[in-house]
Amino acid sequence: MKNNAYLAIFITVVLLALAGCLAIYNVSSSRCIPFYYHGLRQFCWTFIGACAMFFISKIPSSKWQKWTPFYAIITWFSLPALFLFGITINQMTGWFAITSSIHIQPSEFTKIPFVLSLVAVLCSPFSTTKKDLYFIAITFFWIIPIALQPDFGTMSIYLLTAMLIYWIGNGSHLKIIGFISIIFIITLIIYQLSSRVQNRIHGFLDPFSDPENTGWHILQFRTTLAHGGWFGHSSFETEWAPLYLPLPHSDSAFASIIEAVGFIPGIFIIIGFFMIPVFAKKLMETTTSPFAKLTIIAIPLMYSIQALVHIAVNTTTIPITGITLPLLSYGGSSLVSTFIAFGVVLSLSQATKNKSNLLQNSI
Amino acid sequence: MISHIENSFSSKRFFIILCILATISVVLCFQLYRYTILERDHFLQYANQIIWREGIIPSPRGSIYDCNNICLVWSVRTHSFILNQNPQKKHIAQIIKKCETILGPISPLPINEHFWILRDQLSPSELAWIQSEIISSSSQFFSIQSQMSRCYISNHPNFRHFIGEVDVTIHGSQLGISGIEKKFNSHLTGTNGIYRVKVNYKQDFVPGSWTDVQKLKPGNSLKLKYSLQEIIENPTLLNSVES
Repeated sequence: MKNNAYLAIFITVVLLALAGCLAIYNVSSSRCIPFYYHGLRQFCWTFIGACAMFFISKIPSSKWQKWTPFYAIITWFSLPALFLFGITINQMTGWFAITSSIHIQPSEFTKIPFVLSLVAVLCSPFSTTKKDLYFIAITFFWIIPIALQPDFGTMSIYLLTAMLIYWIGNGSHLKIIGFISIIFIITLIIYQLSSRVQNRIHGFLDPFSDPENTGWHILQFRTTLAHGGWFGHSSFETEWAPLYLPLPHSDSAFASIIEAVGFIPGIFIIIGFFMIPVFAKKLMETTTSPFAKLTIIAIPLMYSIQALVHIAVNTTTIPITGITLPLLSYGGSSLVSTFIAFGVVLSLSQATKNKSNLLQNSI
Repeated sequence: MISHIENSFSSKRFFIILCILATISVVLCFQLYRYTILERDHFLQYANQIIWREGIIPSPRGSIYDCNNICLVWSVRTHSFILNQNPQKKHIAQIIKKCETILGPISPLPINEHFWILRDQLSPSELAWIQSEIISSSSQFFSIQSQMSRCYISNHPNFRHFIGEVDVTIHGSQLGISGIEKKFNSHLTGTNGIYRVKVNYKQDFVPGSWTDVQKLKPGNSLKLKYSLQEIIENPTLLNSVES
C-alpha cells in the first residue's frame, strides 16, 4: 500500500505539473513570440524539478532531521538578504536576479526548511512550554521578512501551515484558538487601515457595483471561467485570459487553465490537490519516526491548502489574494521547490521502509 | 520517549482536516460548475459587451474641380497631439519639455476641461517621433487624434464665399453648411465605414479581430462648369448655380 501511495504521489505531482505546462502554453500562445516560449520554459523547469524530486527521494531519512538546523539557518538568511540584493517586481522585493531572465524567489525554497524546523521542534524532547515558545519564535522569524517584502499571500500560507502543523502535532486547542483570535484582530486592523483591502472586500461582495474598478478582477475571473464551458476551447487556446485576466500565468493560473480545458478536467485538478494529502496519509501509515510522520503529512498539506486557496480565489469563492497555484503557475522557483518538497516527502517514506526492513532483519 | 512519539501526531485531527478539505473541494467544484455552466450565458454576454468595440471611419469628402480640371478644394487627413492631463503637472511638464526639443515651443490649447491640443497638423517625422518616444511610454496621458481637414486652392473672399464652409460631425465626417459645399453636399459626401474589433483591457485592438461591418465609400468629386478665374471675379456666381 505504501509503494502504491509513493507512486500515486509521484504521478499526481508530475501530472499536475504537466497540466501546468499546458496552461502556460495556452495563456502565452496568443501573445508571445515565439508562441511556445513560456510553455517550453515551464516544461524545462518541470523536467529539472522531476529529476530533483527523484534524486532527493533517494537521500536517507535520517539525514533530514540531522540537517534541519543547518539547512534552516542557511536558507533563512536568504530572506533578509533580499533587502540588500533583491529586486522588486510588482512592488514586492522577493527575488534575486541571477540573469535578466532568471530570477529566484527564496520564499518558495524556504517553505521546506520552515516546515522541517517546526516539525523538528514538535518532535523534540523539550517540555511543552519550551516547544511552544520555540514554535512561535520560528514561525515569526520566518514570516516577518516575508511580510516586509511585502508578500502577504505567502505569509498567510506560512501562518496557516504553522497552525495546522501545531494542531496535528497535538497542540493545545486553547492556544490555537488564541492564535486564531490574534490573527483575526490583526486582520480587522489591517482592514480598517488599508483602503486596498477594503476595495478588495467590496469588489468581492458586489463586483457589479463598480465593474471597471474594484469589481474588475472578480468579474474577469467569472468571465474567464464562463468561456471554459464543459470542455474548454476546442483548440486548447485561451482567448479571454491573455486579453483581460490580470496575471494569467501566476495568480490567475487556475482560471486560465479552465478556459482552455473546461469544467470536467478542472474537477480533476481540484481532486488531484485534495488527494495529495490523502496519499500522504497512506504513505505515512507504516512509518515509525514521528519526525517523518509529521513531515510526510505537513508538506503535502501545505501545498494542498495553497492550491485550494488559489482555486477559491479564482472561482471567486473568497476575496482576492496574490497566491500562485503550486505546480501549475508559471515560475521556476515555485515549481522546482515544490518538486524538491515532495522529494523530501518521498525520501522520508523510502528511508523509513529501509529502517523497518533493518528492524525486521534484526528481529 | 515512546509516549512522546505517540503524542506527536493526531490521526483524528488530521482526519478532521481532511474532512474540511473535502468540504472545501466540493464547494469549489460547485463554484466552478456555477460559473462554467450555470451562469455561463450571463457572463459570456457581459464579455461580449466589453470585448467588442464598434467605430466609424469617416469617409473622405469629394474634391471640387473647376472646368479646367484644376483641383479647387480637397480633403487631407491631419494628426493632432492630444493630452488628457493638466499640462501644469510636474511629470507632464517634464514630458512636454522633452517634446519641445523636437517639436519646438508648445502652448497647450484646451479643448475642454479634460483635453488639451499640444500640436496639430503634425508632419510625418513628428508623428513617428511622438509615437516611438512619447506614446509608447506614456499612452495613458498622450494620444494622437486624426481628422479630415478641407484644403482650398485660394483664400480669396469671393472664392471662399462661392465654395462655402464645412462643419465636422461628431463622427468626424464633413458636412457642407454653405455655398457649393452645401448645395452639393449629398454628392460630395460618401458613406462612413463601420468597423468592429476586439480590444484588450488596455483598449488596444487585438490583431486579427478587425471586421468591416460597413464598407467605407469616399465622396464623389465635383466638376464645376466655371473656371477659378470666373469664380474669383464674379461674387454673385453662387446664385446661378443649381444643385
